[in-house]
Amino acid sequence: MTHLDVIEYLDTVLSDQVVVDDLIKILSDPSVNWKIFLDEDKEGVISLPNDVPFEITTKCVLKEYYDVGFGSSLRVTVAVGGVSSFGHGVIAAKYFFATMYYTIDSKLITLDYHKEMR
Amino acid sequence: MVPGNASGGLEGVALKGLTVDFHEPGFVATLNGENQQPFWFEMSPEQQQRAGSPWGPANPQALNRYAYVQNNLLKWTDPSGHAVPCVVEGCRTRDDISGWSDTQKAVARVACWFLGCEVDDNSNQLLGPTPDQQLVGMMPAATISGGFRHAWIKRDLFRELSQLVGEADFKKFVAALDKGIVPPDGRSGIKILNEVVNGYTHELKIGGSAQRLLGRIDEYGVLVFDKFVRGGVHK
Repeated sequence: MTHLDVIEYLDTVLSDQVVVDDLIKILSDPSVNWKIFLDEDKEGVISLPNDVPFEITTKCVLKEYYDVGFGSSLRVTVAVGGVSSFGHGVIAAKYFFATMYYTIDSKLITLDYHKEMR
Repeated sequence: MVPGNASGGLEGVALKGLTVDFHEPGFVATLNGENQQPFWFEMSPEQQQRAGSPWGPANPQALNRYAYVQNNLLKWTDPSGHAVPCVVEGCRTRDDISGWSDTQKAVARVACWFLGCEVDDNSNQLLGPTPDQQLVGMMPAATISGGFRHAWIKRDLFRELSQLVGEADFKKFVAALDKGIVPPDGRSGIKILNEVVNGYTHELKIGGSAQRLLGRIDEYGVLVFDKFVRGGVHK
């Protein structure tokens, strides 16, 4: 198995479309209604257009040897609104980033919204 | 007690005066008497002071049905109806209860049965919850529908938390606990996890970081947070 196999495995068990669908489902929930409070306290509420684009920037599988965090899991970062700039190793999203935490069998656990790239 | 016979009639019932009494012996009898001052005003100041139960007629708050939630039904709830002494941080520290009346102590004992604290008559202190749990807040009424009565941060985690996250974020966690259940829109507070992970059903999330606590509802209906998660993509 090569690193390409690992990447292919990631895309197989958790496709980009599934991630985007999960995110849309959360954002369009009536309790959220496309209005988001970012982790950064001072940002306040952000209202998103319904047709906001999404761009996945990171997808990883994490193997934990100890019972920390959510254990061995998958994590995905999505640039909401798309990537607005990229330079010097830093990505900026038009609106914010959503970091999504998945179980190892690809079920969404929870997610964070944040302005800064993590 | 309702005056009258079993069929609901009032035959033979003297309608003059009240037929019920309550927790101040002689109070109603005194009110019914003629040419008498209410008994409270016949008492000397020393007697009034000795009788100073917070629930007696000297205290207008005795008539307040919502005193147990500090008159704020939207913010607090109290399923037992007796949790006055233990609201928020009352149970966390060793409170001096030497000034409490017997009535207050009795109420506190009932509350502590639910909340895990203890009224110690010998030391005149309100001792904290049971060793393995730490009460840090009572939940807004909305969270009752979330399937738990109270939310706690486990004591040993609570002790370490300020070292793990710093004092500012520690305070945020405590404040987030008070907010109760929040929707998945990024607000700090208690969120229901989309998927149960290792038995954990809820998370306590704060703003400004990816740090969170994970919790599950124990057999007593208490949501106990006992796991710290550093968060972020790579951890």
